[in-house]
Amino acid sequence: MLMPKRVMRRYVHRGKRRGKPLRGSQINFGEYGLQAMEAGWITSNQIESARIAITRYVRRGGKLWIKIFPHKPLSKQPAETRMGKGKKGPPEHWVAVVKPGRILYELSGVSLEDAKGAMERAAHKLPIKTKFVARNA
Amino acid sequence: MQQAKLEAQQRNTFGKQSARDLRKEGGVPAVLYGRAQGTLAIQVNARTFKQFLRTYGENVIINMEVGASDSETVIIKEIQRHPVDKQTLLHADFIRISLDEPVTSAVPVILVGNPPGVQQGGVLESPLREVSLHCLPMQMPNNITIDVGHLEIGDSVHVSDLTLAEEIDILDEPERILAMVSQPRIQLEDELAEGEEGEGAEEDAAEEPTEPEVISRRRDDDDE
Repeated sequence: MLMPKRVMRRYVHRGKRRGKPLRGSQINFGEYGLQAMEAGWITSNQIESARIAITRYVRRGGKLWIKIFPHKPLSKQPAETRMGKGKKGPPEHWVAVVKPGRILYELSGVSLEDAKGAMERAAHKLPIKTKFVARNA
Repeated sequence: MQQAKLEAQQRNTFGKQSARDLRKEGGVPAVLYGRAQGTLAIQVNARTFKQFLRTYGENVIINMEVGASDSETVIIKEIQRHPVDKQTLLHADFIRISLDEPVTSAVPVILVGNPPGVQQGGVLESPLREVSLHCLPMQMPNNITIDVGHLEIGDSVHVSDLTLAEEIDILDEPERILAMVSQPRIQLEDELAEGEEGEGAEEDAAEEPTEPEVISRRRDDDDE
């Protein structure tokens, strides 16, 4: 599962989700991509799950790029624990902050139909609306 | 480089709100500068400009007519597009040029041919899709066509392999790869499962930590 190797702080603030991405909204490596249409947090599990969906659909051939990384820790209180008491739960998930327009995955070396099918299956694993994009479109 | 004509109007309103209003009315805010003649805020019709880009691309010499003044020779320096909808143009930069002085421009690379390496299961990649060239505007090619019909798996075409006219300088590093046929990364499901099992066993043995190392805490410990 994707996770940073080293971090400056164990916890970070939640932040805001407004705005558009400063970079990463163009297809740079592959021929096809999956573009986020709304803002959200994508966990490392969801990133991995979508990657597996693409890989299984494409089967052989092709090359995949994951363009997002979960840098942000998300803490959670342990199960059956009462709220409060000043103690914060440990980091439970790692999420990638995604803004509308961000390219999440890129794919090359496959046909347009295969790429569309693979990205559609990946989109089902993600918590945000997405759109299939092609470089030459 | 092709030559084309584009009409523009001088713009007297500035700032983000007026730019938004202009875009709503079907215009694209733009700016014209260069050759020590001062900066001019202009606007172009969005529909016309999109049609222009579809026809000629971004690599074109433009005879721009701003209002009733004489036409100026310009090229496109930068085009800003909306991050979600790439068809929406936000802003354009035009720079004045002289046909007697060399200019620098990014020329798109077009790959033609069906490499045998791809038929064997390889993936054709083009890490560098534009090449920076420095030459007189009229000598600037519209695009660079590279034949990749002979590439096997592992073969590549570098910037140093380009054969252009002597007057054209290539600004990119000669060892940069323009096209290559690489091994596919996505494997069959069975192979993938085997690989995952193997990797999983290694991971268990190494006992991967569940939390990353906190750098600031380590520094605090060092201070103490």
